[in-house]
Amino acid sequence: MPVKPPPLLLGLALAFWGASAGALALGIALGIAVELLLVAKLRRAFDTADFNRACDLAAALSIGAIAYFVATLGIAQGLLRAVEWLPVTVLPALLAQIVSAAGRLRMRNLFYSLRRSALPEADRPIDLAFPYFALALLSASIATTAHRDFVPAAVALLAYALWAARPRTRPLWAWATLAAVAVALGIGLSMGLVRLQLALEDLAVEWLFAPKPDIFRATTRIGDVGRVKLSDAIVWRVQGERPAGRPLLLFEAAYGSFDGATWRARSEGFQALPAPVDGQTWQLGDPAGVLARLQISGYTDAGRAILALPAGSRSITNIAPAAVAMNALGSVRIADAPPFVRFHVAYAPGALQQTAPDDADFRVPRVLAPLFADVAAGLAPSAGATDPEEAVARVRRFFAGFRYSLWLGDRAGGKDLRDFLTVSRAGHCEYFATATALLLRSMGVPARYAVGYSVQEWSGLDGQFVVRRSHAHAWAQAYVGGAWVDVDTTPAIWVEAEAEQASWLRPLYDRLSWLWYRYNAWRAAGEEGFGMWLLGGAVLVCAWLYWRLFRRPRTRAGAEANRTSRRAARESAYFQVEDALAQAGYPRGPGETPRGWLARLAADGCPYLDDAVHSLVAAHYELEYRPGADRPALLARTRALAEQWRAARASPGRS
Amino acid sequence: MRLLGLFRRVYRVSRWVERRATPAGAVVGATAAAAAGRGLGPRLSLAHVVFGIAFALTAVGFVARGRFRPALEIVRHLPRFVTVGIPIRYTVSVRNASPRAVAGLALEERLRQAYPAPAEFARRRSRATNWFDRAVGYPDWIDWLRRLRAVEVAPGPIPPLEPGQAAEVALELKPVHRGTAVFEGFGVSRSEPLGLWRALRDLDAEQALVVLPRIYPVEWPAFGGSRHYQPGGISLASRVGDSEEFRALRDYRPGDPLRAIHWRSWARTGHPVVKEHQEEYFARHALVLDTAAASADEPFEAAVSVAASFTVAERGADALLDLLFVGAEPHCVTVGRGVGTTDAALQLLAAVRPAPPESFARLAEAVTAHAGAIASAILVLQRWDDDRARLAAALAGLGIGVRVYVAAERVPESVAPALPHGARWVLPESVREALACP
Repeated sequence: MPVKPPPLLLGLALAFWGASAGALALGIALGIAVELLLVAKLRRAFDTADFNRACDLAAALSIGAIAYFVATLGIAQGLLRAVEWLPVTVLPALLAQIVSAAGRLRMRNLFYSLRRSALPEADRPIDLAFPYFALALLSASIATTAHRDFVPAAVALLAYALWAARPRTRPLWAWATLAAVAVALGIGLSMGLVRLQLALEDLAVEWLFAPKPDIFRATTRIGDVGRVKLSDAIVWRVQGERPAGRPLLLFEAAYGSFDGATWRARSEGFQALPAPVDGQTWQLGDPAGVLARLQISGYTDAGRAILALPAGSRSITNIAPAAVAMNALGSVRIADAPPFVRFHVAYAPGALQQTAPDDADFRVPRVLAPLFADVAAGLAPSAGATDPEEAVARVRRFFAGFRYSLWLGDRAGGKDLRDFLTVSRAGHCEYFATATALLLRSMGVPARYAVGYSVQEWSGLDGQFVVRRSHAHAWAQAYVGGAWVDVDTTPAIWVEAEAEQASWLRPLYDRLSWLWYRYNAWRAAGEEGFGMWLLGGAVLVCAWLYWRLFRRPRTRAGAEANRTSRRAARESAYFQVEDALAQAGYPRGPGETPRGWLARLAADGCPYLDDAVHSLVAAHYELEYRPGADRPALLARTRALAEQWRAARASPGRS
Repeated sequence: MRLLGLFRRVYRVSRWVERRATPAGAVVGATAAAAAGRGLGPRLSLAHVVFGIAFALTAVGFVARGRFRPALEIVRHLPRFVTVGIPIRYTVSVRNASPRAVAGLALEERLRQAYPAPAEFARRRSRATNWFDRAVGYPDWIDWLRRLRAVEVAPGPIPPLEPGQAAEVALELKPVHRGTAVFEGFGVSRSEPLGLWRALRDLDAEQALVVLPRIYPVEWPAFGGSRHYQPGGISLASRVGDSEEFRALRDYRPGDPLRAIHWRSWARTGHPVVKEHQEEYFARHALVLDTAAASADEPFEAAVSVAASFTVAERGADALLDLLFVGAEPHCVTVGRGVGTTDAALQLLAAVRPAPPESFARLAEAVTAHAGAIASAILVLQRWDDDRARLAAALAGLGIGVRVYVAAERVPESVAPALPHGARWVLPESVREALACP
C-alpha cells in the first residue's frame, strides 16, 4: 500500500523553497497543486511506460535547466543554479507517483540503465515523497544565504517530517529530546564548519598557492616571450584590414627601464578611464583623423585582461560591461569583464600616443654601456647627437645582417647580449628588441621595449586573422620627431621559422578552438534569444509528454508488443470456439492450457466436445508453438475445423 | 579476482547499513552526503546548515540505539520444502522471556550467504542490460548471491508482548531459486526514538529448507509406445528387495520351480501349493537430464525445470519414470507405483549442479544400458551436437519414443545436425510455452 506523506509537508517544503529561491509565487502555486492532488481522489492506473515517461520528462527538464544555466552562467554557477531548480524540474516524477494508483515508482523508472533489466533489483519500489522533501530543503539551502530566515523555517519543516516518520512505539518525550539535541548539535556543527572553512581558506591561500602570475605585466624578462611562444593556443581573433606592406602589431605593454635582465614598466600604474558617454565607446586618445577599424575578440582571465591593441588606438567600442584602465605607456587593461570579450578598435596607424620620454628612456645599464657604446660608435662615427631618424635607419641596417634563431634561452644579461651582438649575431625577437632599444639609447635616441603580438595568420575556418601565443613578439619603440614609432628589427623570416615549429595537433586544436569561439560568439550575440529558444523547446517537450501521458487512448506501448503476438495468435479460429464454449458456460480457467481445459470439460461431461474440437486444439498448438510451422495452412485448417464444429452444433441431430 | 573481494566488502557494508538504517534514516544520511558533496562554501549558500543538522541527526540517532538485549524465545515452523515461484507464509512463535513488556520489535530472518566461486562467476552469462554493469559485474554478483540464498524472507513486526506472553509472527517467504536455504537465525530489531536507526540483535536458530525447482504444467507426450514385460514385476523394477510380489496360490503343476512352493500352505492343505507371480506389463519412461553445462545459468535452470515438470506430470497409473542424470556419477532414480516418491526425485533435482562437458558420455552410456527396459525417453539437453544427436537416434532406432528438449539462451539461426521430429527449444523466458506444445 502506498504511504501518503504527512499533510502539507510537500506543499510547505515547496513554498519554503520558493521563498528561498526568489520564486515564492511559483513555490506556493506548486505546493498547492501538490497538496490538492494528494487529497483529491484522482488516481490513474499508470503502467511502467507512463512512469518512464514522467521520469523522462523530469530528466529532460533537469538536463535542459543544466544546459541553460551553464550556458548563461558558466559551469560552476550554472550547475549550482540547476540544483536550485531541481524541485521544479523533477516534479513530474513526484506528480506521477501522487496521481498513480500504485503510489510508488520503481528503480527501473528512475534509471535508464535498469529500464530493460531482468534483475529483481530493478523492480524495487521507491517512495519519492521524503527524498523530494529533502531535495527541496537542500535546494532551498543552496539558493539562499539569508541565515536568519532560513534556519528556523528549515528546522521546523524538518522536525515536522521527522515527527511524521517517528516510530509510534517509542515515547514522544524521547523523540523530542533527541531531536532537540540533534538540531542544536547540527547548528553548532554548521557554525563550527563555517569558522573552520574560513580559517582553512586563509591558511590555504597563504601556504598552498603561489601568488598569481602578473598578468598585467609590470615586468618582463628576456625569455618571457620565448616561453609563451611554445604554445599554439589562439588568444585573439582579429577581423579587419591589415596595414599594407608590414605586419600589424598588437601592442600589449611597453617597458622603460632595463637592469640588464628585466624590463620594468614605470611605477605610476594604471588610471581608470572615465565611463563612456554613450555607454559604449571608451576614448583612448584623440578621435580626430582618418582611423582604421578592427574587431578583436578573445578571452579574459577571470574577467581581467590586458588588451592587445594596434599602435595608435583611439577608442574601443562595444566592450561588455567592464572597468577599463590605461597606463602612461599605452597599455589598456580591463577588469570585471565577462569570460569572452569582443570589441571594435579605431586606430590611426603608426601614431603612438604615449607620454613624452623621460630619463629612463635614455638609460643603458652600466654593465652593458661600454658594449653598446662601442657598437653605436661603429654606426655613427661622428660624436654628438645623431638625427633620430637617421639613427633608426642605421640601427635597422645594422640588424639586417643578423639571423633569426629559435634559441629560446631565458638567461639574459650582459653576456648573452654581448654574444648576440658580437659573436653569434643570431637570436629571437627579445634580443633584437632589447638590443635595438639599448643601441638607440646609446645613440641618444629615447627608446622603449614593447611586447605584444604580430597579426600574420589568416584562418579560412574563422574568416579572420587568428593570433596565437606563438605569435607573441617583442620590438622596440623610438621617439622620433616628437612621437613614438615602432622599430621592429627582427628579421621577417621569424614568422616562417615559428610556423615550422607548429604542433601536428594544431588542426584539431584549431577546430575545437573555433567551435568554442563560435559558441561564445553566439552566446554573446543573443543571450535573450537563447533563453527563449530553450524555453520554447521545453514547453513543446512538456506539451508532447503531457499529451502522451493523459490525452492518448489508453493503449500502452508495453502492452502493444504483447498484443502483436497475441493478435497473431488470435487469428487462429480456435479462439472462436473457445469464446463460444465460454458463452455456453464452459470458460477456460486462467493459466489452464487448452488441452487441459478440454480434458476438464470432458470429465465434466460437456456436451459440445467432438473430434473436431480435439483436432482443432491440436492444430492450434501447432500454430502457436511449433517453430517453422506452415501458418497459412494451419490457419485454414483451424478455420475448417471450427466451421465443422459449428455445423455439427447447428445440425438438428446434435448431441 | 581482487574485484570479487571488493564486491564482497561492498556487499557486507551495504548489508550492514541496510539492516540498521530505516528508510527515513537513509534519506537523512543521503541528505547529509549531498549537502557535503555540494561543498560547504558558507559564503555562497546555507548547505552547510543542512549538512550540520542532517549529520547531527544521523549521529545522535546512531548513539540513541542504546543497549538492546531482547530476551525472546523464538521457534520457526517451516514446511519440508517449497517450490520456486510459489510464495508461502510460515509462522514463527515468539515468547517474551523477560520480566518486562516489549513493543515495537521487528523480526527478520538471517540466511546463510554463500559466495560464488570466482571461476564459475567468470563464466557467467550476464543478465545486465548495459555495458557498464556487464563489464563490472556487480549487479550479476548481487543476483547470484540472491540465488545462492535460495529464498527471500520479508521482515515482520512482532506484536507487543507482556512478560511471558507468546505470539505467532507470520513471515512471507519467496523461493527464488532451487537449492537449500540455510536459516542461520533471527535478527530482532527496534527503532531508536528518532526513527532513523534500528538497534539490532542476532539470535541463532539454524534450520534448512529445500527449495524445489520451478514446475510448469505439462502433459506427458503420447508416444504410442508399447508396454514392456518387466520380469519380476514392480519389485524388480524398483531394484530393491526380493521378488516376492505374488498374485495368488495354486496347486502345484509339474515343472513349477521348487522355490515357488508355498510350504506353509502345503502344510495346511496337505498337497503342494505354489505361489503364482504376477506377470507385469507396464510402461516405463526415462527422463534424461543432461547436466553438462558451464554454469548454473538460466538455460540450465530452465532445463532442470523441464525435468521437474515431467517428474510431477501425470503419466498414467501404471507407468514408471526413471530419472537419469550425472552428478559426481550417473544416477538413476525410479518414480511411480509406490516405488520412489516424486518428492525424492524433486529434492534431487533441487540439488543438481552443472557437471563437466565430458559427463555427457557417461550419461549416454547409462541411458543406452537402460534402453532395453524403457518405452520412451525424454531427453532434456543442454545443447544440441553430434553426441546428443547420436544418443537420440540410437534410442529411436531401438523403437523407443524420444522427445528432445534443448535448453538455450535463444533459438540458433541454423542447427546442425538436424533436430529430430518434435524437438523443442527451451528458452528461459518461455519454458511454459515450450512445455505446452504437444
